[in-house]
Amino acid sequence: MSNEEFAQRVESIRDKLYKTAMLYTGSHSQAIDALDEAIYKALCGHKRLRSEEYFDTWITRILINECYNEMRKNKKLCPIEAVEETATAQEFDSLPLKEAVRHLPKSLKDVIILRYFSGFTLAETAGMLGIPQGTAATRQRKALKLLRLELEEEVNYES
Amino acid sequence: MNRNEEYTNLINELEANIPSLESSVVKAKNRRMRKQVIWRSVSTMAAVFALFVLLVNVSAPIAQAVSKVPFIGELAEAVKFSKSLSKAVEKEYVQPVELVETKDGITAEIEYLIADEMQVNVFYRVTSEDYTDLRVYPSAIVEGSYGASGRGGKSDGELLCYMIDFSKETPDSFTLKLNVFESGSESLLKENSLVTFDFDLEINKELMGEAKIYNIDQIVDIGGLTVNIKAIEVYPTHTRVRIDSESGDGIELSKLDFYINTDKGMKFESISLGMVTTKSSKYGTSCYGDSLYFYDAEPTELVITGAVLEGEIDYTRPIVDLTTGECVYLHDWIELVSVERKDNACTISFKVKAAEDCSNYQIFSDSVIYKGYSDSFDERLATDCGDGYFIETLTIYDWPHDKLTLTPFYKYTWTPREEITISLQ
Repeated sequence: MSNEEFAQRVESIRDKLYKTAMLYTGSHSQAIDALDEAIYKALCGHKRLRSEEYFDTWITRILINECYNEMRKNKKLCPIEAVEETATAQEFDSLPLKEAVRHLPKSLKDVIILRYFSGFTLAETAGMLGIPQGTAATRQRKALKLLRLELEEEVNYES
Repeated sequence: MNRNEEYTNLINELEANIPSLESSVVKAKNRRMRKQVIWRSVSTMAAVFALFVLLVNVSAPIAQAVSKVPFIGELAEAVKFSKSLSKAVEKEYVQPVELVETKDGITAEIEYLIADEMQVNVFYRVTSEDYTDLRVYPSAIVEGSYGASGRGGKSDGELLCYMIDFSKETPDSFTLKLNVFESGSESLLKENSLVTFDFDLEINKELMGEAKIYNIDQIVDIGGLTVNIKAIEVYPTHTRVRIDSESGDGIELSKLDFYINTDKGMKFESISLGMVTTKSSKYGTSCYGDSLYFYDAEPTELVITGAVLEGEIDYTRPIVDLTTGECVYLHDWIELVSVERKDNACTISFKVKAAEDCSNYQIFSDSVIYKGYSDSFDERLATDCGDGYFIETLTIYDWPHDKLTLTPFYKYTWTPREEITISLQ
């Protein structure tokens, strides 16, 4: 992939990337900082990407790491506290949706952002997170229930 | 509105703000190019040096020194933040230094110094193939009773400037310490740094331009603070206005806004960013401005246009209980108006008497701490009550504790009804 093609690929998925960064960081400026850093790292490493078909998921994975770095930098000593794994839907009811997503336990948050905000398929989401599709589907269902969201679930997956 | 409607709205809101990422790609390309250039220059060196110093042009005149300065264009880029340093570089007032050390895959280089009798600007670079994002914290260690203050920052492999302001004349030599951390490292304790470099720097005083001193010795009133404007001192890297504080009932000068007119019709303004004021027992208060050293001009007038003053307070920090709405260790002159915790927001309001001639109010700094956690207020609002009092309202989101500690910060901006002009003739 040439540098020109790299630029075009990034621009073609800017909506996915921006939504991902916004949901993780919660602020436009932090999202842009995370995107700048992720794009730089992807530019330095894209020649090592074995198959271009994985470009979208590969750069998104870099972006997620940068979002966590950005959040650590900006809220070093006072991170957003994720609600316990055993949380109930009532605990999220008082929060606006964007905040509720950000307060989900990390395992559920990763799945819900990638599936319903970044627009990746269940298989792509599972691949990015390095978990079986069945696990991704279970987490997706649990997160939707906690958020009281009734969105279409993709249930046909290869186990 | 149910959650599904909220979801649709959120998606629409996000889609309405999606930026183009073209500029991010351009920035990334430029950054990668810089790094490649740097690595090419480093790889041409014969070996890795433990400590290698080469000070060129030891006794040569400044003009000759310039012709041997490599990468002057990059240096010009690194001093863009300062009008004075930019002019110094343009006039090739630079001491080239070549100090390189590599430890644990990280290379630090000291490349240039711009020094005068009171200040040294060190230009350094930290690079690594193993880390893409490093943060460098420089500090100067000087023998004897010197004090030094300076600023450093993040390193992406580009040339950075560390400005050191000494409490008395620039020493012949000092040690520059560079503590390197991985960006995002939670602790900046020295033992958690990736690596620490110690560079022994020698200042070639023969290459330093001599300061021009213009004595004034005039008493003026600055927002209730009586000060003696002692002198204007013009150095190659900056101009400083020397001040002796006379009396001010506990008020201190934190920043002075001024400009200097010259016989050639030029105007040199005070610096508003970075080092604006320093205080030392020997020299009193120094306020900084752009240098007219390299311009063929003499100062004719000092014009004072404003100041930032700090009121006297002891630094006992009030603690606010967000559950009961009570506040302990609050000073008598501050009244707690309200404490409210709703959803994820905590809002606290205080009322105090405004100082005369005040145009800007602040009681507490942005810093919020409690039991090792620290954060900053997200919103700040000062409301003039119209009866000589004002209310400061501070809001913080997602504060995890039931209590928080405030830092008193009684600071205000003073603007004179008419500018104060001091003639230098």
